[in-house]
Amino acid sequence: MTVVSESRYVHDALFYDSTESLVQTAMPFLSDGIGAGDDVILVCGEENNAALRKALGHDAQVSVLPREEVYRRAPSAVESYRRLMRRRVADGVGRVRLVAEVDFGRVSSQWQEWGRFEAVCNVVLDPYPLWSICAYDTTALSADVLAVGERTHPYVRRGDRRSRNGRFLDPAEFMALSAANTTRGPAPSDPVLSLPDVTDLPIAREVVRDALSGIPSAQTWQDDFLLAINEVITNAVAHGRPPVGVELWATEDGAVCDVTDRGPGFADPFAGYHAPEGVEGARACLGLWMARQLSDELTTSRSARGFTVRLVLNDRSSGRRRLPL
Amino acid sequence: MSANVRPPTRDGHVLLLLDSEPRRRRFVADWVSTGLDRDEKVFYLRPDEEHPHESLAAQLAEYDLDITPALADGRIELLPVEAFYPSSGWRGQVERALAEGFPAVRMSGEARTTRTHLTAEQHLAVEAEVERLSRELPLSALCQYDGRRVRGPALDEAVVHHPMGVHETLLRTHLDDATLRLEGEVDHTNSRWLAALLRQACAEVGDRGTLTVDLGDLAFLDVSGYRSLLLGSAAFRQSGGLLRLLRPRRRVTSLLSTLFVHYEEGIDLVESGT
Repeated sequence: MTVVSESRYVHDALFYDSTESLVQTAMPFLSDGIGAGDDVILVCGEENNAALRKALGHDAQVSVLPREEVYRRAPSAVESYRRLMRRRVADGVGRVRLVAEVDFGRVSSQWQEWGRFEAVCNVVLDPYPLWSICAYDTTALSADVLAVGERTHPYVRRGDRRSRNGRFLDPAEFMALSAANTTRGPAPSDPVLSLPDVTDLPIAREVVRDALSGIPSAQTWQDDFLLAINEVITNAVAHGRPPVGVELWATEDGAVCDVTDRGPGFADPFAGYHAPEGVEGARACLGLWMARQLSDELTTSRSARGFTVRLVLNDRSSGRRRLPL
Repeated sequence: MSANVRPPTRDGHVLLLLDSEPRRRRFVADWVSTGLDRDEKVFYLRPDEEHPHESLAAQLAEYDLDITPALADGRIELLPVEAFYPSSGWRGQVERALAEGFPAVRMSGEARTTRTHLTAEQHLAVEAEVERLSRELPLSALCQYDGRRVRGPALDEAVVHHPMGVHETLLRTHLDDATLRLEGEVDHTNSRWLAALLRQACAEVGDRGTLTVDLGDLAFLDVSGYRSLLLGSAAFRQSGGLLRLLRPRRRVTSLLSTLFVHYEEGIDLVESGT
């Protein structure tokens, strides 16, 4: 067995082809944790949670968290785990062991976003005594998703074998590749709003608010999405180069908004993923962090028009106000 | 003086910071009208002599306020810049008006009119004196700055000299008895001066005190506004002070809870109904 640091984040991928094989591979990890006094947490699908729970015995001290709540939005999930670890550390917990299954969704943009989640965890959770196993079902997940698992975990488990992962990519490299390869669906043809040159932030916000209120499904999420858009426009006006353009489309699932300026954009692939905390955090990339928290996808691209931030809001994620953990 | 006069009240020392001339005139008309309704004495800095067509009477008449009778009987007194800024200060002017039987005094003028008469330091000294007097005497002062021109540190300084109230296009503030009320919207365009104002309000409350920020009339708060709440109160909270955020609306609550304001030291979030 590879020696594992007890004070830093350890991130394993586990590839399995049946619930039985998942249980067989994960059990020693979980049993060792319970024996060592670690906190043990399960965030898998219902069937796998139940099987693992049963195998551990119902007297075992195990927490089971609602997967559909934890994995609604990638940036929120990162923040949920970070907050959980902060609280556990404050409570004196030595180490947390986690077995989880990310919900990669069914469309390309979703699994790419969750791929970034896996990479970002390596960075954001690094200071915490967390050892997590991310379980990948080889019979259900696509080859693309399985490749994401291999590129974002420093260790892999197959059967009873755990090994260093030769295909692991440095998280920053993964993020850069992901940004370059992100499939951006074509914007719907007729925007409900097009502002070619935003100079007055309050007026722009008012116009966007009016446009959002005209989208029938927006009632439950328009305030959050308006705030996300406001933050991205603010960044473009404050740090980018004019003209700042805004386009908003209504989609079947919600809305898409592009904010474009002539500047070079931001280079840090983890911008907006590090949680702001306290006074120092308040000085950092708080606006981008907020925009990521309040939208389902935040992607960037560069073109002849300049630097574009695209925000996507899907109805399925709306209505949540607080992080689940 | 009329028999059914309202009790003298004060609007305090207020900074008017509008970026639209019609809005400014509308506000001034309301402010003067309130003073006349209360039988107060109104001193007004005569508008720039180079623009005689911009007489106060003409400006306010556009907003259905006829001040001709008040000018005739001395309830409104237009002062040239030398008389508006007497070397002996404002106390004498206020006390004379009170001795004449006026229950309270109002004074206002456009800052642009003073630019050729006072240095920046002299202007700030006047502001400091008026701030002191407005707390001591029944004096309301409306200082009109050009919101299109006053920016950055100069704006911060202007705000600090008007902790009782700032009226800006997007945001209006009012400080009274350790409660700072915010009405309107806070975003990147005004969050900087909000932080300056908050620092001043915290300083007035003093170490280990409680400053309540009433958010009930705040329709929008963005991340930069949140940052101002945090940074503007940081030293105060580190010294044991408590910042109480009172009854935020739903969309403001959403932002505050997403940013985990409830975990911040020295901040107490009191939502509606609690």
